[in-house]
Amino acid sequence: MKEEKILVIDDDDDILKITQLNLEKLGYRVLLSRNGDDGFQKIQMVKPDLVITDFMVPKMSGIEIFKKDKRKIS
Amino acid sequence: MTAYGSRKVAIDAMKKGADDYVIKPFIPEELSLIVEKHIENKSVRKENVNLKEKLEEREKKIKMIQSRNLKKNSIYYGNKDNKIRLSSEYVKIAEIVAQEFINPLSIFSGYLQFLIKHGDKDKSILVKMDKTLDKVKKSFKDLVFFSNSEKNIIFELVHINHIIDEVLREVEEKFLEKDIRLIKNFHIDIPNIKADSNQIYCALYNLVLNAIYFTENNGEISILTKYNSSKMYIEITDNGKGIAKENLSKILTPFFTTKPPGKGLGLGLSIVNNVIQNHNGIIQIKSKINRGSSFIIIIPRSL
Repeated sequence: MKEEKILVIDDDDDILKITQLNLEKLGYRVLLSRNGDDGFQKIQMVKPDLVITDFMVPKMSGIEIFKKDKRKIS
Repeated sequence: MTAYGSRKVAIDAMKKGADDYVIKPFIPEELSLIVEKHIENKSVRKENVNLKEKLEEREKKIKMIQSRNLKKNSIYYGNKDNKIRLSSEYVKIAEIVAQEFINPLSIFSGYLQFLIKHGDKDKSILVKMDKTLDKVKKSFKDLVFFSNSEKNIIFELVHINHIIDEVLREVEEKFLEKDIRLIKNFHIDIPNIKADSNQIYCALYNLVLNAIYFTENNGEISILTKYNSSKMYIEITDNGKGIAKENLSKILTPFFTTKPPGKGLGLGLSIVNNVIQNHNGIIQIKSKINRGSSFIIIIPRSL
């Protein structure tokens, strides 16, 4: 198991599942989120190494999440 | 991540500061290369190790896969000389229909590719694949139903309450998923009417599905049936987001939808409308933004 944590944000459960399955096979620890608000909270809490977000997610767009968090994660 | 065909959106996102993009449907290899690139990028910065060559190699590979993927996704309508000029309305409909099938099929293929590569004893993936095929089947059914709803009408004696109960059994899971409260106000002694039970089922199914889609979690949907000496009334009311005034006159138009691409053909309500007309009935729609919508179907008891 690798150390890195990846957060995936998408409102489509199937997209989340497929992305999770593939990333877990690569050995990453995967966290999932179905909307922008929740995704942003998870970023604060678990500080993932990489965030993969859909462009259009409910409650906060992918770009908004990114802008709001730019200082905090690389 | 961005949806099929929205490369422009992706490039815009990059300009606004995203590091990279993947266009859905992605292929697993593309995803893993991009993810590893960025994870490595991060550790490179941390450890100050020069992995530039390795990264460039990967970059090349990603570009190659992306362009291969793009070519695979492009639709060709033949060469310049025999290009058929379609009216923009047809092109739009073709796009809606294509998207409706591409989305579930690429999800299906995403699961399938995972199974091919890794195998899995977990049956839940197969169940998910089966569900995505159900979506495709629903779209096909809608298209077929829409194209020949005037043919093959079979009138028989039907009990409206029983048909609604059948519909409700079919969508029970969706009510549970969103924790929506169902209120049934059925008139107990409702008389049978002469109608095509398949068509009435299909119309009510689409109305209930719509109500569920536009109702928030923990919302409420009520279904009422009543009658008088000449008419039968079915009323489906939700407390969802409602219909914007400017859309009220359009929602019965085929292929009109306010759902995002890939979430519906926009045929549901036009199917409802066709069915009601086949039964010499009318449909009334009342709606208030953020308060909910009410669809009232009125069918004469004798045709």
